[in-house]
Amino acid sequence: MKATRFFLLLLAGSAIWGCRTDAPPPSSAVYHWESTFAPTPEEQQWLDDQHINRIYLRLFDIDWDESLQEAVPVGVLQVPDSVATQTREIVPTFFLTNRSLEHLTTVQTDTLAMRLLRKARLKLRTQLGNPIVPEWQFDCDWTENARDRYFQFLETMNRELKKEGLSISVTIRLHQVKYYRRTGVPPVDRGMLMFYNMGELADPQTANSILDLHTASAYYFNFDTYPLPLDLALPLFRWGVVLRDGKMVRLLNGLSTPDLQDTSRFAFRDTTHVEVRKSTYLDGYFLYSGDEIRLEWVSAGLLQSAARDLARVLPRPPKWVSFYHLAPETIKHYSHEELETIFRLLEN
Amino acid sequence: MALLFIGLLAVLPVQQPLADACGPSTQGFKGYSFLSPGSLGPEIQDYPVLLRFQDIYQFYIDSTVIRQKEGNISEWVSRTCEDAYPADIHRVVYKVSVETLELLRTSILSKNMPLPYELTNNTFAKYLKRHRCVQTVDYLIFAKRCEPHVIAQGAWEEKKRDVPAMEALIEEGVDLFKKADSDNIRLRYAYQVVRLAHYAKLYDRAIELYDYLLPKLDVPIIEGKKSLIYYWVLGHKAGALRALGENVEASYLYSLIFQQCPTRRASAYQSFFLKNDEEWTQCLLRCQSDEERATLYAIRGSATDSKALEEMKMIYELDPRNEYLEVLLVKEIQELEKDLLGLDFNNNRLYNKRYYGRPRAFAGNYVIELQKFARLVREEEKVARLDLWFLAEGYLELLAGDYYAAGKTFETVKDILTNKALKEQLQVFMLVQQIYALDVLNDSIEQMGYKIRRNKLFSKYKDLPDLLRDKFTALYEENGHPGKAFRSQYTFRDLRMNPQDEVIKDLLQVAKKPSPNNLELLLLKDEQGNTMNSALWDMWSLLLFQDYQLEAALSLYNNIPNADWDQFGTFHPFRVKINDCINCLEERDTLDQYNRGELLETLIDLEYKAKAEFDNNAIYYYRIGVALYNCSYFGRSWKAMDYFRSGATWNNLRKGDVQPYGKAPFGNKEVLNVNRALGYLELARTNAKNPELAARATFMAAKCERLLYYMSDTYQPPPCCNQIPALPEDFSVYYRHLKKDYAETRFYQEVLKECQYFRAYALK
Repeated sequence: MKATRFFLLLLAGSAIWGCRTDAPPPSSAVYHWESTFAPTPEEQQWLDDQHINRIYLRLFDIDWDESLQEAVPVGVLQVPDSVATQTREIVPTFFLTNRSLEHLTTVQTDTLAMRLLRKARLKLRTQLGNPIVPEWQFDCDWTENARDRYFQFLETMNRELKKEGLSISVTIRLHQVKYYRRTGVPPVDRGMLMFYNMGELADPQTANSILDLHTASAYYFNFDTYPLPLDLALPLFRWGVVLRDGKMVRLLNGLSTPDLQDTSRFAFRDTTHVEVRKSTYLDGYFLYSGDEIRLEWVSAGLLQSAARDLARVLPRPPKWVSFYHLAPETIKHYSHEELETIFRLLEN
Repeated sequence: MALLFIGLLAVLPVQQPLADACGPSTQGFKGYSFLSPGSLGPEIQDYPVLLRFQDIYQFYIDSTVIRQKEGNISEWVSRTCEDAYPADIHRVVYKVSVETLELLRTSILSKNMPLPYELTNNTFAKYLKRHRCVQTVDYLIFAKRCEPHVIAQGAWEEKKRDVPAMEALIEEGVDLFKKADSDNIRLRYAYQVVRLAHYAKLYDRAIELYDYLLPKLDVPIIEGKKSLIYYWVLGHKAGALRALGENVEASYLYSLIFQQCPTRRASAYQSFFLKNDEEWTQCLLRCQSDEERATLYAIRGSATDSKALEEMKMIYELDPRNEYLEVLLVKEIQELEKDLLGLDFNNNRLYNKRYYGRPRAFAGNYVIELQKFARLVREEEKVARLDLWFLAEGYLELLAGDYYAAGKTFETVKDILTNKALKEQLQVFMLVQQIYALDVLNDSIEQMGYKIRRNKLFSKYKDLPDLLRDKFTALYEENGHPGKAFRSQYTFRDLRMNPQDEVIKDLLQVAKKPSPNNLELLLLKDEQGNTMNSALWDMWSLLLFQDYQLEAALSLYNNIPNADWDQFGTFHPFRVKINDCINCLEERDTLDQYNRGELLETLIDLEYKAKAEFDNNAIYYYRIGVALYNCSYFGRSWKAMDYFRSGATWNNLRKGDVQPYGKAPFGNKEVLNVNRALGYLELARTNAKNPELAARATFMAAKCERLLYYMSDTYQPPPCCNQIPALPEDFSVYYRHLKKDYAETRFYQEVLKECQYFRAYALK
């Protein structure tokens, strides 16, 4: 009887863990999503400390230009001359808006792919010193209207990049896994699961729109059958959501508690909600008396809980875990050990 | 200032309403606006950031280059004492090549050398030659050589930043600056070299060049203002300062540009950036006058989500005659219009709340505060345009819900207004106030509504019809008039999509009135102006016909003069065709052609005969069954029982007989019910003594059965196009009958030959 019980337990255990193979532990990476790429010595040090050898570097976005009636690059990354040749791997990353894709014809879609390739290659060669580029990544929360064009665009990119032996990945949102039969699976090599931005940012009732495990749990479906291998992007960023009379009017990136210690201007209602007492400038934005700021961040503990959940949900550990994102204000809040723990949890 | 006053409400003549109409077809925020700076005067038009910032920002940013060119050409026109046409200046300055300009230069220097071929008839080239403007052409050549370094060649091209070449051009430009005689040309050289340094990221050099070159010239004054080129240079100095982290100085310079240079106002606003209160204070300290300080507050108050009353108070304190004060007043009133107009009766208020957060929570208090401020401003009489503030005070009272006070204020203002545009604006406000005051429903109120519609401003201000319509809709609904409420918002076509009993009855009540008022008469007319009385009887009758209440339907139909029955269509409901074809042309034959009234009469007659001739009733049942089938969504005479048929319904049969369609409020109803037809056909089959008739009834019943399968939950569409869906056993009862019981009939052979569906079944 005891033996039977033991066997059943073993069986149950293998049902939970059985899909997970002895894959190598995840490697760490980081996103760079700023407009200028000039890592400070502190950031370089942090990258070294975290053993981060890969940067997902946003080179530019693609948006639709009404006056030109074509998809154009916007927010092109600035790289000062002083930036040294990159020794770390660079994954050129691009954000595409749905409206830029929705407008395109089949021919224009291929043209866009070729133009993007040309511009990005030139940038990599002339401004970033021809770094090691193992992969290219595209970020688009595609809609049904944009899907066909997006997938066609990815196919073209895939074909071109394969000529150089490069792989191609895309960002994947939780809903795109849960409903993948409806939303489709992009024709690429890998997906990067964006495990953040889960809540209704504009809703005054939202506690933390960056990471909410309860919300996330509603999407823990179909990971076992999802056709693409998934890497994982986790949030290290923080921001202040400015609400004016219940309406979100601004996001103040990198805002944290110490920035709001001036009691003549700010009053904490609790640890995350602050009332503006006196009209004032903050980070270049003018706040009016009566405005409310909701501070949002992800604690190391919450990240570790997320890792525990994901270890259960993902059929195998991600090959890459990339933190979003590299910026002076994001890196100082997490110790090496705290981030290491996340990797250990994901390995299990 | 006076100009601005006229501009601001000359402004209000308003062919371009601010908000989208409230009607069902518009997208975006669905409210009303009656204070519209749509047709701004020349002064106000250049304050893009202050009015509907979010909407027009893109336009102004997109058009910056165009506006810049226009401004530049305009200055050249002044320089030539209007001897040259703008188009010709545009060609020489922006289009021709360096080579052509060099030919032009040679031509100027040589009496014998004609103008270059492509500039033969160019008035600007002629002017330059006539006045021997070699230095101007030298400048144009220099500017053309700078272009590749400062203008992107295309959205996908990287800016080519060849710093050594740019530095060489800067040196050359400085030399040419020194040699130039006119301040106009010197200023333009200064612009070129400062811009080159800025774009070469030689920020210190850009500032140094500005500080070195600008004091060496008197900035040309054109039409009483500094040349706009001066502000262009200033913009590049500000840009360089900003790049060096000198936010305060940069923002101060941008504020000067915002204040003085309309063509660069939008970009100056975008570039203005102060990080914290300290920088704000420092920037205020840099200002040389209260007007400049007021400009800083104007920029701050112009943010999309600002609550600009705070800034307005500061501007008023600093410089009460400042034009920004009024522009911000207009901005704030426009925002409050979105919050407060039609709060009780806007039929899109839930949509606005959900998607636009309107009304904002503070709007109620804010309108009172703004009202107080407007009153204070008016009472203190320090502003340039007192009547504008007086008018605004009245409108704010109206927005705050005090219609009585608003009416009184408007009456007072009426006597002091002299400006035509302001007078028109007042009339519009008074119309709005009148519409708001409609709070009971009777003939005289409806008559007043009609009178408002006849006002000449009613069609000019697009939101007035929406406001009136929504107000009356609410009044009609409150007073139990669903028909009038419906017609206030929708057309008869919308009603025909899915006729509603209560709507029709209410409208017929109006139609029956001995003397309906003018507004009611309007409601009873269709889009073409036809009176709809008979059509309403037809619609009501059809509604009962769809329920197979034949006697009741006919009784209603008798309200339509007999001679008019054909107006509502004629049909061939008793024709039997083996294959259905909805859009095939019907052979017209008066022998089996019926209008709706005649069809009702005939069906009643057939019902009677079927009951009376008990032993021989199969043929009657058969005819009724055929007619009901043909009048359904699937038959050739569908128009006998419906007004509109959507092909899309065919793909959604399981979703029921009422499905959303366009903007029809009740959706589109189709007659999908074939059960009744099937019942009659079954009676015909079982009662028939003639096997040919039985075969026919069985076949028609099979068609009904097949359609019932398509509407059932078990239906699976065939995997590909044009395949015949296989009928499951449960839905092939009549096909079985036909094959088993009537294979010997002539009709069976006919069906086998013509009907692919049956052939597929029978030969399986």
